[in-house]
Formats: sequence, structure tokens, C-alpha cells
Amino acid sequence: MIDTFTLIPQALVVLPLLCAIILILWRRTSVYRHVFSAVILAVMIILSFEGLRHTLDGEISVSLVGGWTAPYGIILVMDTLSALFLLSVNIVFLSSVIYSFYEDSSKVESSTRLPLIFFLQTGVTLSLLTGDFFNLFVGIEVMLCASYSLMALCASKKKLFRMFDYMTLSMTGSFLLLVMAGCTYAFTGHLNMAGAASVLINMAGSPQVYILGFLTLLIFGLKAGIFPLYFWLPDSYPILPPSLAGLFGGVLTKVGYYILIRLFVTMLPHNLDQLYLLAGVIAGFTMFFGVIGAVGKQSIKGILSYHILSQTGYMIFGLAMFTPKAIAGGIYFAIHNILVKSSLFLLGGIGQHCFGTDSLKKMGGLWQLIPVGGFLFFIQAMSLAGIPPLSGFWGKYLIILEAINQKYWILTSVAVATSFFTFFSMIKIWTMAFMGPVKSKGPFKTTGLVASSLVLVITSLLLFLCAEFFMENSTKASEQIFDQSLYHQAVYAKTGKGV
Amino acid sequence: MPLDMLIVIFAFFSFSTYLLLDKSLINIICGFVLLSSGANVFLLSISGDPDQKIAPLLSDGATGNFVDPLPQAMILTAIVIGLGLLALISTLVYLIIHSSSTEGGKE
Repeated sequence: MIDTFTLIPQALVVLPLLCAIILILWRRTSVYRHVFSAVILAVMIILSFEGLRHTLDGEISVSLVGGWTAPYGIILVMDTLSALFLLSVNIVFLSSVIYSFYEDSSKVESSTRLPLIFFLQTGVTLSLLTGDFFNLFVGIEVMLCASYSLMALCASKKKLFRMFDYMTLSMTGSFLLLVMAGCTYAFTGHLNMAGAASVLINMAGSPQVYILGFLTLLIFGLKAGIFPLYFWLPDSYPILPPSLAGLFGGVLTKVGYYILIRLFVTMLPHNLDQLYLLAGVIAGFTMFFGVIGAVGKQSIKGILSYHILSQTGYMIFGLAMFTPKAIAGGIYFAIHNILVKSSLFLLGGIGQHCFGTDSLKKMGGLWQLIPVGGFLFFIQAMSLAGIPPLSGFWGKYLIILEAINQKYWILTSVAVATSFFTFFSMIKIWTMAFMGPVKSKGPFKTTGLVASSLVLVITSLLLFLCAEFFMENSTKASEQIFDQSLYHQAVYAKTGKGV
Repeated sequence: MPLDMLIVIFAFFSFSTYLLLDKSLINIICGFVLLSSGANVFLLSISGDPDQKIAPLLSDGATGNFVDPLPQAMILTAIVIGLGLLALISTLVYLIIHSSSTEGGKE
């Protein structure tokens, strides 16, 4: 009756939560604490891989929390899209936790940091898996509260005011999300996404649908870092230590993007043309201003933070075209970005480890200090800039190909120009930090740092070595969510308590 | 939505927006207090006009015209989360005021 596949989503939510509680009680910091966390994260990766393997056969796993049937109870849904995101996000968590162990060996580590990371993971997993709108709000809040606490805990006290913008904007977004949940319930009588979709499809074209669509774009666009609402991101991420900057940069904005796809494709009707046009315009501005900001920055984490924005622009562009192929490109690009962006933060963080500063002007000669790390950084930087045959190229290729087919000439040219500037600013990091005379002495223990980023680099290399496999699957994922009836049937086929 | 509820919600949201745009950190916190209350009142208002309706208690054996209980369950969750967020932001403001003797201007 109960097959293991339906247990996977529940296990993925409960496991990090339990682990966080255990780590709160286990206060004394030691190696074993990190080993324990790494083992749990490895188990999470295996579980999400197992989930992905099942969903690739076209199966959608629905588990009923507490056994209540779909329109009444809370459900967790795992389809190809959420499984792909979960797998890559969990890999980033593993890599970041191992990295933070080596990063912290010199300083006194706070004992609340690991539990908070696991709370963050609980929130992320819940937001990726939930099929219920109010539960989505809860998941997002768990994730954001953990992120505020981590930021306040790990940033230096003098720079704390820089996270204030992040917190105020995100909190405003949270309360708007609450209002949006209320609107969804008032308009459709459902909080369940599948249930709401079945009602909204009959309301297509009415102002209510536009209100929901606009609120979605506003709230989750804010989380993803779109054009007018992005300034919190490059302000707050650079104050974090590299392991957390990698985690936040790779994971948080992509969760926002995932929910944008989820709500626009599986919940809202597919004919909101004005909103797609708005998203397209925003995408163009986000790409352009993100990369221009990056060109002007003088620190590794500052440049990379601005790149998060410009890459969000590409993803939103994929969403704005709103064809299965374009969204498949967006999904592939997002997966690539989760892995590559985090690994760049981690590898760039080695520079901070060696020189004690993040400013590019005070760096130089990293290439001679860490040749392997430099090599990996170069590969990942080229991948981010979109040099073929690396993974960044394939993501951009899918999106731009579809844009040409759909005749989006202006946005296509912005996208190509952005790629060029991305390349330029990556070269800037390369020449200033890695080339030139060595500006720091002494042997550094960087083996552990490089090795923990290697996990991410290998995965992102797999992304281009098996490019066809991944492209096929992201196409499959986007076709699966485009057919709203598939999701609906899977959710309602499950029976439990209730009517 | 009843008109009186509409006016209350409008007042909550407009005052909170005014306070959120203020320069003082304490006023921003007050803005969030109002914003969270406004969102909660909004949630309450979507369960409709309670006139002529009975409390959703099945033990009375009553049938029919119940008030929708789900928005109230949502408000309960929202209050808890809102309180947590307010506690977090108050702590952050405390830390910011303590750590910087300056006005907290940008670098």
C-alpha cells in the first residue's frame, strides 16, 4: 500500500528538521558534528536522487501529510521539476557544510550555525515540495528566518546595517505573500495549488487572475532579485563568509525562481500575455543592470553577487517567453547556475582566506598559491560567461535559440551583450586576483577548501558532459508542468482521510 | 467584503506604508507591526460576513450556515510567524544601534 517513493518527500522535509534539533542539543563543537551533518546531507542527496530517478519515468509522487486527501489536507508533491531543483540544492548544501568546516578551523565557530543551516534546508525543501499555498508561505518563512539569523550571526558587527534592507524588503514580501494566500482562498475557495488551478482556468482573463499573477511576479520576483527590487542582494551577500555566500547565492534566489515557474505554469492560467510582456521587460533590465553593476565592483563577492542578478534576468527571460522549450532552457540554466555560482563563491573565498580581504586590489598571484583551485575557478568562470562547451553555454543556447524562434530581437541582443560583459568581469577577477605578483606569503591550508568545492565543480562538469541527458530531462520537466491536468490528476488520485 | 472591514484594512496598510518609508529604524518596526496586523485583518475578512452564521462547532449538532473556519487557522499561523519576524527585526535593530555610533549611513 505504502511504497517507498511516496515516503521520499516526507523524509526530505523531516530529516533536516530532526537533524537541526539534534544539533541544537549537541552544543559542543567538534569534528563529529560536521561529519554527522555531512552524512545526513549525503543521505538527503541519495534520497533526492532516488526521487528524481522515479520522476523521470513520468511518475508524480504525492504524499498526504497526516493522511488527509488533496483539497483539504496539506500535500507534498514531487515531480521532475522539484526533484531536479532538490538534487542540485542538496549538493550545494553538502559542499558548503564541508567547506565551512575548513574555513572555521582557525576561528571559534558558533554552535548555532549548523542547526540554522539545517533549518534553512528544511525551509528550502518544504518550499520546493509543497503543493499547498499556505504551506508555501510557511516554508518560505522558515527559510527566510534561518537566513536572517545566519546573516546576523556570521556578519561582522560593523557591517550589520547592510542586511537591514534585505530584511525589510523580504518581510514586506512575506506579508504580501500572506495577503496573496488570502486572495487565492477568497477567489477560488482553495489553498491547494491543483484545486486553485482547476478553478482559475475557468476564470481566465478576469481581473482576479491578473491580481494573483501580478502579486506572484512581485513577491517571488523580489526573492529572485528582479530589476527594481534587486538592490538588497549585492548589498547584503558580500558581508557573509564565503561558505554561506555560496549557499545563499546558489540557493535562495533560485527558490524564488522555482516558485515563479511553479505558480505561473501549474497554478495560473496560461494566457496572461501582458504579465509575460512585463516579465520580459523586467528580464531585460535585470540582465543589463546586473552585469553593469558587476563591471563596476572591486571585490570578488561583490562581482559575483551582481552576476546572480544578471543571471536571474536570463531565467526570467525564459519564463517570459512562456513556451515549454523556453522554460526548459530556464530550468537547465537555473540548475547550472545553482552549481556554478556556489562553486565560484567557494573558490573565490579561498582568496579571502589567503589574503584576509575580499578586495581585488589587495590580491594577486593566487594562481601560484593554489594552482588547482585557480584551474577550477577558471573553468567555472568560463562556464558562467557561457563559453562553449561548458554548461553555461547550453543554458543560454536553449534560451536564445527559443528567443530567436519567437522573434524577441531586442531581448536577444541584450542577452548576448550581457554575456560579453559577464566574460569581461570574470576576466577582471582572473587578472587581478589570480595573475600578477604574489601579494601574500606563507603556506596556506587550502586543500580542504578546494576539495569541498570540487564536489560542485564535478557536478557542473557532468551537467555539460551529459548535456543531452539533462536537456532532455528539463524539457520533460517543463512539458510535465505545462500539462496542468497531469498535476491535477496526480494530486486528486491519491485517497486518504476526508470526504 | 463588508465596508467597515475595508476601511480598517485600508487604514492599516496606508499607515504602515507611511511608517515603513520613514528614516527612523524604530518607526520601521512599528510599520511592520501595523503591516502584520493589517494582513491578519485581511485574512479574517475573507471568511465573509459573520452575520446570521453560527460558529463551526460540530458538537452542537448544528448543520448548515457555518462561518468559514479556515482563514482563522491561517491567521493563527500568521500571528506566530509575524511575531517571530518582529522579534528578529527588533534584535537586529538593537544590534545595529549598538554596533554603530554613526547614523548607520551606507559605506
